[in-house]
Amino acid sequence: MPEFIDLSQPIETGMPAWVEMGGGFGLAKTIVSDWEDYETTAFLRTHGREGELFRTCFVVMSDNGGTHVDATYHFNPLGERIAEVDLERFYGEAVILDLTHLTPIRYDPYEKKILETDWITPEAIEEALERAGEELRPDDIVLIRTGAEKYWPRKEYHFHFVPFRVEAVDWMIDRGVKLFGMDQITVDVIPGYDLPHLNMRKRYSMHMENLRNLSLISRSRFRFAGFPLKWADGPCSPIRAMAILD
Amino acid sequence: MTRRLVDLSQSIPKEPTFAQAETFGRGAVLGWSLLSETKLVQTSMLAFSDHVATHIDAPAHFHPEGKTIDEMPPELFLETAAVWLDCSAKGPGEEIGAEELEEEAESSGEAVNPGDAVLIYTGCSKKWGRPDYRHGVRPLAPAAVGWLLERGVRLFGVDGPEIDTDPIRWPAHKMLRENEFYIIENLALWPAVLELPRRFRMIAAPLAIQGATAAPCRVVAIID
Repeated sequence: MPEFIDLSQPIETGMPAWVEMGGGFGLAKTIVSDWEDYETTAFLRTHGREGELFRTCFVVMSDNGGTHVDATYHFNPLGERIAEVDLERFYGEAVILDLTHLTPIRYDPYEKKILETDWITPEAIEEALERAGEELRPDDIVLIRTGAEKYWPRKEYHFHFVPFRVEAVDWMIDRGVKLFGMDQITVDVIPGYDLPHLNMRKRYSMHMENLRNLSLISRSRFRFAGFPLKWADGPCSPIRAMAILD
Repeated sequence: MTRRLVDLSQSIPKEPTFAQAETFGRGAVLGWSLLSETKLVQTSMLAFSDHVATHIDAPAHFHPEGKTIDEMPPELFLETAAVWLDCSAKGPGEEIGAEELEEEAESSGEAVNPGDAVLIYTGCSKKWGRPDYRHGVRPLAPAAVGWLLERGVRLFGVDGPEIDTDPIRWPAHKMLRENEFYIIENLALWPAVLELPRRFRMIAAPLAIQGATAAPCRVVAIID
């Protein structure tokens, strides 16, 4: 049997979502209703036949909460809704690249200024490929490991990431990469959405954020599956991302 | 022939689906809504029942100590061997018995093997989105569930909203109290069955909602 590695963050009450996603409305919080809520009303709901009880849960979350994929409609009004994207984009051969040596951004939110940061550049990706002894093939999925996942689900997680240069995204797309993902909260710099996200308008790029367990993938090439849910009209979706190692 | 992917999932409607809200009491299925539409970025808050649209029921749905959906073993939902059985000859409300599954498996020419996922096509998915959808259910007899479990099936699905039509006794669902198995409901088998071979591989990975009794998922058939 192949080995399966779960690359998805657990969806639970209090799970972090990107600070600005729905945060303007104070709704970025994730809530999963639990069994206790249910027991208190069991008698009423079953007309006294508590043995007949079954339970369900209710979930409130941002579509940018947890491990998720952004379709181009996220930033491109003419882009694809998540339900419209070809399923082939979310399943297939994948390569993992180790960029844990890069220094995460230090950002001053008051001055809106980057104090210090490394960037994910085409060269950094090329070097990582070389270290892994891999090369990119058309229709590859690329997972980039920056090591940020160790801060999940603490507040620090929001500010530990290495921003991508748009050239790095273009470089991957030029080589036929159909999807890329990372173990950090954003592809971009806060707070102004910068070029990597706006690249969804120009190059129709798509990416996954908040992957985890990337350190458990013991080889450079494997199979990836992470299909989004079919939200009518939605721009993004939480996913169950899985690595399959034959 | 090259590999193809076929979507077997229903889309999650934007408006509340009241039929389900009624079934699940407080689990008002709100679908979802766009809360922040700006020129720059589109994002949304999602509010949903764990039983919304195409989803997988875990034992915890009916068994207080049963496995929750995040504990479902990945070998059941990743590239799993799957077969579909045609139980659309009889009408809504008529129970699917063990004999019918047996006969269907035989006439389809595909044996049900241990570890297979079994998808049961009842024709209910033709009515998806219509008010009579929830009256289109063909319930599974506990003996039919038993037939599947005896053959080593731990994941099976139907193209209707339910495997039970008895909203008081839930005879098929209650077998979750004695057995660990998982049920996919609201599969979009119509019109996919027109082109779906009897045997294929399937990915049906539920969202990793901790402690949930079910989770929505995208069900995809892989046709090699």
